Amino acid sequence: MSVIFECRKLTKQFGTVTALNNVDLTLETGRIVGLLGPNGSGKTTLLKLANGLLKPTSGEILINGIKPGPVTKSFVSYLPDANYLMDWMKVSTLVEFFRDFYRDFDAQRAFDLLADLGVPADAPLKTLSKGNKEKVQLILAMSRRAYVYFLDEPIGGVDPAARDYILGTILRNYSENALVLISTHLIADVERVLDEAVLLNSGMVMDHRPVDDIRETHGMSVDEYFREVFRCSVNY
Amino acid sequence: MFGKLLKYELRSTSRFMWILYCAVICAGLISGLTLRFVIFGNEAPQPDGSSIISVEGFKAVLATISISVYVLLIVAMEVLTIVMIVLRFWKNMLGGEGYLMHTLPVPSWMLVTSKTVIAILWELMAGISALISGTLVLLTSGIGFEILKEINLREMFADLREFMNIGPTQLVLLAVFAGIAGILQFYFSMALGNLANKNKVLFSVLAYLGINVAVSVIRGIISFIGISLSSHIGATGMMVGIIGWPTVILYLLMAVGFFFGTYLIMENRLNLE
Repeated sequence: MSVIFECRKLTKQFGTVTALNNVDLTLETGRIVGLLGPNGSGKTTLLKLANGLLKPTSGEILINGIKPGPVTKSFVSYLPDANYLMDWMKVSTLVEFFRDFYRDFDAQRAFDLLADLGVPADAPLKTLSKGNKEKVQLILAMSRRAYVYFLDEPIGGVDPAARDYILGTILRNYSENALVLISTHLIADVERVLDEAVLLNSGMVMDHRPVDDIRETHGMSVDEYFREVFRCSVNY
Repeated sequence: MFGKLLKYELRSTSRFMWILYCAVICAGLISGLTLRFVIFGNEAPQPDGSSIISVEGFKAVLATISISVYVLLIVAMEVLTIVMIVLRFWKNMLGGEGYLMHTLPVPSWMLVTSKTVIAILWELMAGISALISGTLVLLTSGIGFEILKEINLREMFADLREFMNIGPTQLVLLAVFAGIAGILQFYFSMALGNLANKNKVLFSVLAYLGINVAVSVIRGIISFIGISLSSHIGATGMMVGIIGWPTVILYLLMAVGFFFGTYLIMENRLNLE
């Protein structure tokens, strides 16, 4: 294992709002890491910074020792939490697009996964249901043989049956020397695949530990621990 | 990679544009034939000899409608071409699709360049379609040969040189640089507007207007200096501010400046929602 992802005093402000505050975080290869936190805690901002879609206000973010740019993008696979594909394209055209631009893209794997999940490859993306669109996005992201996968809410929009298949897909398809960083608030669903958890709150890292450590120390699942930590203080 | 970007850019933009350009060319043909009927058509038989005026009136209305619709269509084509170029950049670079485009393993300058190249291609296509369409109007209506014979390029350029102090080389360069600078001004304004955390569209429009004001001021200064230095410049030249090389160079500098401005914002200050 070696360090592949590093944030050093990373801060991102939008006007007067601080989305990330002095974040120091180091992640290693061969791990599946959960990026967990309530809404607005800075999860998506962190992933956008890691992919060069935003620039840090101060501090730096390094992937395999380099700042996000054309080089890191060639070995980082990113699944954004947004509809980001050209919706007039057929699914098969999108596969072709990814094959054209990413050397590590495995088109055969993509077509196999599409068939397994029953997504028609010759249909234009805009004719697919919301859930199927999300499956296409995830399949394209997971069909790359990347060193780093950043998955922002990968299972948010799909039904529970497909969730298991998708998590299985992530487990089966990432190589042992890759890092998978999954941002989600559906902790119970992803918990079983995680090696580590990073808890983010108000733009700061509250906790970063192996999930086994959380379970042993607190005698509860990560999901229960999360609910405990982030319990809304409401007095009835 | 650049070739692939061009390929997908062309594929994404060509879906509607071909229909538009074919429509403009067809409209040229239809307008020309209508005018031919108006000018040379046999008058309708008038058994009672009463409808001469109404036939003439009908022809005049027909000619007016035909020419108005035709001119509107040409203007609409030019406007739609620009709207397509602007919306394409907004959606593909700064909207949802920006997540895909900006995570491709290509440098930002390549993205901006590929967009500009295809946009220039569509502006050229719009120009060529208008030219073909206009020629068709002249030829099919039957009045064209006379008009085409009358056109004397040598005289036109001599007039331009006399009244606007601009030669053929300068004119071609001016058209090229102004075309490119025009596209890149849209891109640069949108890139600037995108720096705002809220009201990105409003700030883009304001940026565009602000740049226009700045360019007008600079052109005014160039005209003023040009007129002060020379006694041969005609009144038209003063009014439109086209004063030879300084204006050509101004548009070249604008194109270069807008390109680097857009590129540097994409590279260093990208702020995708």
